[in-house]
Amino acid sequence: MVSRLLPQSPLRRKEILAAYLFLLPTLIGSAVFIVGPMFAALGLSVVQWNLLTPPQFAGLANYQKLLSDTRIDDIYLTTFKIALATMAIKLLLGLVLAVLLDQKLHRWLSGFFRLSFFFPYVVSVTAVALMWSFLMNKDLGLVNYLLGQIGIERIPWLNSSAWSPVAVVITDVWKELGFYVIVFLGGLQSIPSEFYDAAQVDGANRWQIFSRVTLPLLSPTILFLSVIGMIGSVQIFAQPQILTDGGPGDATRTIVMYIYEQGFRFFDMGYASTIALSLFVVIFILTLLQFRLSRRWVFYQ
Amino acid sequence: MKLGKHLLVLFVVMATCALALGTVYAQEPVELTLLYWNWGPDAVQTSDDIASGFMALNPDVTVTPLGVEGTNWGTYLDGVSTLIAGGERPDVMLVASEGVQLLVASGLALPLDDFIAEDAEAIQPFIDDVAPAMLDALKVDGKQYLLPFSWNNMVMYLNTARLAEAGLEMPPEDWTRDQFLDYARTLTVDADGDGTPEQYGYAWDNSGMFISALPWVFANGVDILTDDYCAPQVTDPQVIEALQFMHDLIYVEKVAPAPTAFGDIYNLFQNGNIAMFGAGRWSLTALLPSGFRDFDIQYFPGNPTRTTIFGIGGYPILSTSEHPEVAWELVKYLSSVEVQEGLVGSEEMPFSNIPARRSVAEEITAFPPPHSNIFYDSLEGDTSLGGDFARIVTSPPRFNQMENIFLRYSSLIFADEMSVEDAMAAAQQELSSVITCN
Repeated sequence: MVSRLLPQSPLRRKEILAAYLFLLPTLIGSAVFIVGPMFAALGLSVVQWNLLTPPQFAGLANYQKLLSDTRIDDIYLTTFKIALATMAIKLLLGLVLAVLLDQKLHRWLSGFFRLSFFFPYVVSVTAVALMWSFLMNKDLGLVNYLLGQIGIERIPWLNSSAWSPVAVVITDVWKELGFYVIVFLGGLQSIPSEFYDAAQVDGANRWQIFSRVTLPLLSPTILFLSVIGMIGSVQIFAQPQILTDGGPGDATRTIVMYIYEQGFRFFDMGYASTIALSLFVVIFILTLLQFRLSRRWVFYQ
Repeated sequence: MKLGKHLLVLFVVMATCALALGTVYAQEPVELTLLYWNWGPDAVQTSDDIASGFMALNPDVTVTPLGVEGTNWGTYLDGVSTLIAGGERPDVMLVASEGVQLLVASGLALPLDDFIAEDAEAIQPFIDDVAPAMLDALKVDGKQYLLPFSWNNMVMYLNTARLAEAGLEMPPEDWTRDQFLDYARTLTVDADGDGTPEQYGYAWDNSGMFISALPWVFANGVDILTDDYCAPQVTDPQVIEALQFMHDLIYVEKVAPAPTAFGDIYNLFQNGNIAMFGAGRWSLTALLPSGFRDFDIQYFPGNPTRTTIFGIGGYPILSTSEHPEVAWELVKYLSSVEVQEGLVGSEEMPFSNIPARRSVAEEITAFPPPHSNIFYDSLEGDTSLGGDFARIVTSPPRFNQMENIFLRYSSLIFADEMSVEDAMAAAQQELSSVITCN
């Protein structure tokens, strides 16, 4: 085992040591900010703690509360609905835009479009959400004004249970799409041109080239984006927090908002940790499922 | 004899050393931490001034102001709790009436009654200078935990240019909700006739109960909890009636837009798209610096008897303090005219809250709006209009949960997705597990 980890060649051993050295900051960061808090959450899930007075052992009370919580099912459902919608749109639209950008455009034009799509990604999420909350104001927002110009009645983007999740999805897609476009573009450009040449020689049309060559060779990129996209989308917080504060009712309350609410608004750290653990289990299962299913549709060169 | 002499010398030397040490110990500077809500530059400036002013008077004490950010009292309290959980041991901290019960229930606040009794002569002028309603509101089980520092209430802001255009005078002090509705109807204008007004009579922000529904509920002479805060009563017909009135402002009368964030309301009010909104003195910090002057304030309308909702901030001494006696000196200093004067601000940069001392609060009447006097008068002004008409914001120990439940259901009412009766029946059920004395 040891010989497998540390091969005999001194050069190789040096390389591996160097690799670990480079990884060290990330490993320390993960230990302090991810693994540590995970174990802390496990410990906190069996206590009652309001931050102000010492924690008290509560056994499985928090887990019982989780099972009998009348709000949590709807909140998980809302979270999944928003996550699925944002992910599907980002994957589809990201791919379409990347394919369009991959055409032979003038260098300046191509750079301009790339910058335009990527720019929202680097803007603070708070600023983005605030901007959209102004734009989507029912009575005085620009979006409804423009829709009004084409005869569409004002939409209560932020004040209705039907529309407010849509507003969250739009805001999230606008903000995150650039990242998907750039990653897809990278994936497209890493496909060797020989494949396209061979397909053309075989007389394939453009659609056939896209569906039989591009898409299969892009499948690892799609898997990568869908895994990190799913993990990110399930944890969406800032957009609904700023746009709607979870409302009306619980219409846009996501599971991370609920954790925050229980922990930092109601000072129930024990229960907040228990919900956080349930989210960990959910994301773990979903990711596992994605990898299992990926065997059927992901092709590696 | 010789031994006795030696012993005597030894005793004298030891006693001298002990005295010297004692003097050194007594002179060791005392460090106090002053926790405050950093809502903006005026809060930072005031806290820094308080610290330096107190240190100038007490050179052996160091006061460190520590600002905790937050968008409202609830999130400020989150930050404070996290700090305390992280091991910070503040001596005094700013807390609002909404957080007093939680602090007392957690055993974190020291009662001030003994300090007040011992220092009666020094503190009496302050007590004589503040509205009794404020002191009463800061008592828990008959004990005084805070002295009022600054406070706010809800008054009605009116755009006077829009009133003039509509041919309306400022409403009278004793105006009723019916008169308010008439004003709102007249001030709602749909010039292009497309069915959607360009100018609304009234608007509110639904992110807190203090600024949205509570003033209307209080105007109906009820609260959402029983007086002892032991049970919810949101299904009370008067609570239902108040919420129905607000719902109808949007969907029946169509004189108000769906709830709008305060940031938007300020812009819309200055542009004349909204003619009236309810708020406290804090709104002056948005309106006055931008040069806007076409507005005045009036009491919140009664239904039929006017009632003012108010909330107070003060600095309790925390049980974690190692120097409660020195902390009391700081609390006393906070009640001084000198510190209270710092809460007046200027016309260009008014302070967000109203000073607790009436004598000092009178100074804010020098700035616009013309009727600034009603801020303080609402607590102890002309009682012929309704007697004891000031009511402290509903403040049970689990304030945050209560507010969350109430806002969650009221947001469904204001989205026209749940009837007032159904929403309040569901809220009553949820609140019952949170608001209890058992």
